[in-house]
Amino acid sequence: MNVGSPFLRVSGLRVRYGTAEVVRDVSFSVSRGEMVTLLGPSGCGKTTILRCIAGLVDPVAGLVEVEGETLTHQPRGISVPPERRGLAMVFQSYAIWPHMSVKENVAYGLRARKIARDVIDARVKDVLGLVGLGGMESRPATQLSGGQQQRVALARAIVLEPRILLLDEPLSNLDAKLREVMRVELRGLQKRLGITSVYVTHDQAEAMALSDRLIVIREGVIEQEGIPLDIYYNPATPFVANFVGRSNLISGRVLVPAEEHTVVETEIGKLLCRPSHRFEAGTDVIVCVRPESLRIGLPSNGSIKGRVAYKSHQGEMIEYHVEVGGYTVKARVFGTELLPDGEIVGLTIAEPGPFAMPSNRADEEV
Amino acid sequence: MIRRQAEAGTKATGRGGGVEVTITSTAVVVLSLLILLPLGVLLAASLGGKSLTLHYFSQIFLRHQIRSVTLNTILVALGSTSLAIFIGVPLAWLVHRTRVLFSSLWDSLIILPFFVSPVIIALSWLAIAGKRGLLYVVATRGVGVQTGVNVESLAGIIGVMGLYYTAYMYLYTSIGLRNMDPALEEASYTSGASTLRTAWRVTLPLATPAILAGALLVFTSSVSHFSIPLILGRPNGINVLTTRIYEMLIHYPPEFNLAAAISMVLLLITATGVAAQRLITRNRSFITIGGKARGEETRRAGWVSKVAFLICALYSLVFVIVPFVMLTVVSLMRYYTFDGPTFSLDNYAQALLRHPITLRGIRNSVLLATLGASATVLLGSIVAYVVVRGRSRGKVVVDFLSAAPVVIPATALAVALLATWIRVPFLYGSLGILLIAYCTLYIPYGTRAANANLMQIDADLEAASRTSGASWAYTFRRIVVPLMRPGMSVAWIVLFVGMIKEISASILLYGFGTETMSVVLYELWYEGSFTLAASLAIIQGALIAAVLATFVFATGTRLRSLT
Repeated sequence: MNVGSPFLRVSGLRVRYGTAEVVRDVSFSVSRGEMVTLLGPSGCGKTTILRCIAGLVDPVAGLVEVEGETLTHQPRGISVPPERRGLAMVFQSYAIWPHMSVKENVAYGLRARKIARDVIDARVKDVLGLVGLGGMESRPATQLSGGQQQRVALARAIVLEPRILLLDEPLSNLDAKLREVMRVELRGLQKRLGITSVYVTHDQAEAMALSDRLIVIREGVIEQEGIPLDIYYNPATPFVANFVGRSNLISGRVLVPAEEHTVVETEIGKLLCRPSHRFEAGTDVIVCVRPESLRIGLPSNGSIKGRVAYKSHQGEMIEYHVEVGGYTVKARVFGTELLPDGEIVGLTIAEPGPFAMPSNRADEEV
Repeated sequence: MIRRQAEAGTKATGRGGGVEVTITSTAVVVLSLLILLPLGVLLAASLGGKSLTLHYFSQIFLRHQIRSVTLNTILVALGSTSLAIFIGVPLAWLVHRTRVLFSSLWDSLIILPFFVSPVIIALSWLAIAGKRGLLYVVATRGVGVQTGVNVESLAGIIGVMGLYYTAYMYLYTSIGLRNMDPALEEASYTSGASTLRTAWRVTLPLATPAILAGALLVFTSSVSHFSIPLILGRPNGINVLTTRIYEMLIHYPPEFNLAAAISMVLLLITATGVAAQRLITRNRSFITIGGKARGEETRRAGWVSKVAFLICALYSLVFVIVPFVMLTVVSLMRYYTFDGPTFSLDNYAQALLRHPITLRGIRNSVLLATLGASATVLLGSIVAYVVVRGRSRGKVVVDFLSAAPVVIPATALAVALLATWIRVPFLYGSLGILLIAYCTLYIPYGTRAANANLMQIDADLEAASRTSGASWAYTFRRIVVPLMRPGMSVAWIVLFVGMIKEISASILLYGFGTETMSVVLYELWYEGSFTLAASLAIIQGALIAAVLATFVFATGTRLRSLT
C-alpha cells in the first residue's frame, strides 16, 4: 500500500466501562485507500475502538486524528460529535430505520445536511445501483431480506462519501453462502471507490480475504499487526496462531539456535523451525504447525511416525488426528481415500514449515 | 456478558453533550417540584407543622374512632385480597390451561372491570344488593323473606372490592401462566400426573411469584382504596382510613394535621408492599421469560374444559354483565325504585343537554385527561430517554424520582398537594392543581411504558443517525420520536382512561367550576339523584368504551395490552 503520513491515526486509546478497562493503550494508523481489519474474539474491545473513531464512545484517554484533524483528544476534552466527523459507519445490526423506505434511509444523511433534493435523488439512485438495489427505492425497510438490509446499510454509508468507512461485523448476520458473496462484492466496491476503511470482525477467514492489513486484538490490547499472510505464517503468540487459522501448538526446547533454521526438540520429535527471533539454546518455545502443512504418507526416514486415531471428512478436506507419542497432531489433507483407524503413518511438514515462538505466554492458549 | 450490557448501555447515542445535561437537570427540577416538595410538606404537616410533635401519629392509635377505622381498613384489605386470589387465580388457570370454549371472550370480560371506575361498580352493586336494591325488593315484596344480603356493610365492601380486584389477580396470574415453559407441565403429564395434580404440584408453584406479586399489589391498592367504601360505607357510618381523611377535610374545622399523619401511614404501608413486590420479582424475571409459543394442544380438554365453560360463563354473567345491565336499568328509571319502576330517557337528556354541572364535569374531565395524558407521556418519554440512553450522573436521581409516586396513594397525594398549594390562589381549586395531581400519580406508569418502549429500540438506530451526520436534536425528532410513537400512543390511551375515571384525588382538590365527571357523578348520587348519577356513569363507561374501541380497531392493538 502507499506510504506517507497516516490518513487515520489512533494513539494511546483507553476506554473504561465502570471499573473494567476494555481498551488498553491501543495505537495504530491507516493509510489513504487502505482497508484495515480489527480482528479478535467477541468482547476484545474491537467494536469499542471503532466506536471511538466514530465518536460514539468517548475514551478516557487517547487521540483520534483524520487527515491531520484532531477528532478526539482525551483527557484534553477535545471530542468532535459523530455527525461532524465526516465518517460513516455500517452497523452489525444494520440499524435500518424501520419507519422509512429504502430511499429515505439512504437519503437521510444527505437531508440532514440540507442538500438540494434533485442532487439527493441522483446520488441515491447511483448508490443504490452500485450496491445492486436499483429500482427498490420505494420499498419499505421492513420488507427487506437480510442481504438487502445489508446493502441498504452499505449504500447509506457510502452515499455520504465519507473520509473513512467504518464497518462493524457487517456480514455476521448473513448466512454462510451470502456472506461469501457479499465479502467479494464489498472488497470490490471498496477497491473501486478507494474508500479508506476500518473493518471489525471476529471471523478470521473474512479478515484474511478482505484486508490489506490485519490488527489482531485481545483483551483490549493489540496482539499483532501485519499483512494477512505474514500473520498467518509468522504468528507472534500462541493466541494469534490459534485464533488466525487452526494450528497444532507443541511445546519444545531449542536445541540448535540459528537466525533462520532452528532445531527444536518437541514432544513429537526434533523439528526444523523458523524462529520468531534468535533464541538461546535451551529456551522453552511453542512450535506452531499448521494442519494443512502436514503430509501423510508411509513411515519413512525423516518422517514423524504416528498412528491414525480419528478421522473426519470435511468436504474437500479430510482431518486426521494422528497420535505421536502422547500427543495428538491434527492434519488436514486433500483426497478421498480414507486411511483406517490404527494405521501407522509417517508425517512430513511442507513449506513454509513450523514456526517457533516464545512460550512465556503459553498459559494463554485459546 | 456483563461487558456487553455495559456496552449496550453506554454505546447509545454518544453525546447529547450540553443538551443532555440541560434535559437531565430540568427533569430533576420538575420531578422534585411535583413529588419531593408535596411529600416534604405532607411530612411536616403530619408532625404538627411549626412545632414538631408526634401527637397526630399517636392519635391514630389512641383515638377510639380512628382505631376502629384502622381496623376496618385492615379487614377490608385482607378480605378483598383473599377473595380476589381465591377467584382470580382459578379463573386464570381455567381460561389459560383448558380448552374452554370462547376463551378470549372470557379473557376480555374478566379484565373488563379494570377499565371501569370502581365508583360505577359500587353503584351497580348498590342497585343489585343495596338496602333499596333489586334483591331486597324481590325478596321482601315478592317472596316475603329477608335475604340478609346487603352490600352497604363491611362484608359488602369486602365482597365488591374483592370482585373488583379479581381482574388484577387474574391478569397477574395469567402473565405468570403465559410465560411458563409448556414443557414443564407436559413433563408432568407424561409422568402420569392427572390434570388437577399437575395444576396443584407444578403449575401453581411455578406461578407463585406472579401470584404473590399480584397479591401484594392488590393488598396495597385496597389499603388505600377510596371509591367503593365511599359509596357502600360512608353514608352508613362505615369508614376506612381514606374515607375518614376525606371526612376530616370536608368538615369544618378541617383536621389537617391528623389527615396528613394518616396519609403518611398509608404511604408507609404502600411503600412496604411495593418494596416486598420488588424483592419477589427482582431475581425472577417471570414477566419477561419467553417460553415457547403455547399451542392449543398444551391445554386440557375433556370434562375440565366443560366445567371451565360453566364457571367462566357464570362468573362473567353474574359479576360482570349483570351489574352493568342493572346500572343501565337504573339510568333509565324516572325515580329510583324497583317497586313498580317507570322508565324514560330523561336522565340522559338532562345529563347531556340540560344539567349545567354534568356538562361541565364531562368537559373538565375530557380536557384534564387529554392534557394530563399528553403531559405525562411527554414527561415520561423524556425521563425514560435520560434514564435508558443517558450517561449523566443525574440519571439515577431521575430514575428514582420518577418511580417514587408508585408508593403514594391518590388520597395521600391530594392531602399533600392541598397542604402545599393552599396559599397559592391561582392553583388552589383550579384545573391546574388537578392536572398536577394526575401527572404526578401517573408519572411512574408513563415512564415505565416509555422505558419498555425504548429498550425495544436498538440504540444503533440512533447511532446510525449520528454517524450519518445528523445532530442529537435532529436524531431525536426524526428517529426517536417516530419509533416511540406507536408504543407511547398505547400509553396515552391507558393514561387517558385512568384520568377520566380518577376520583380519589379529584374529590379533595376540585373547586367550584372544576368538578370532574367522577366527582359530579358522586355528588349527584350523594344528594339523592341516583338515576341521574347512573346515566352519567353509563356515559362515562360509553366514553371510555368508545375511546378504547376506536383505538383497538384503528391500530389492531389487543385490549389486554391496555391494562
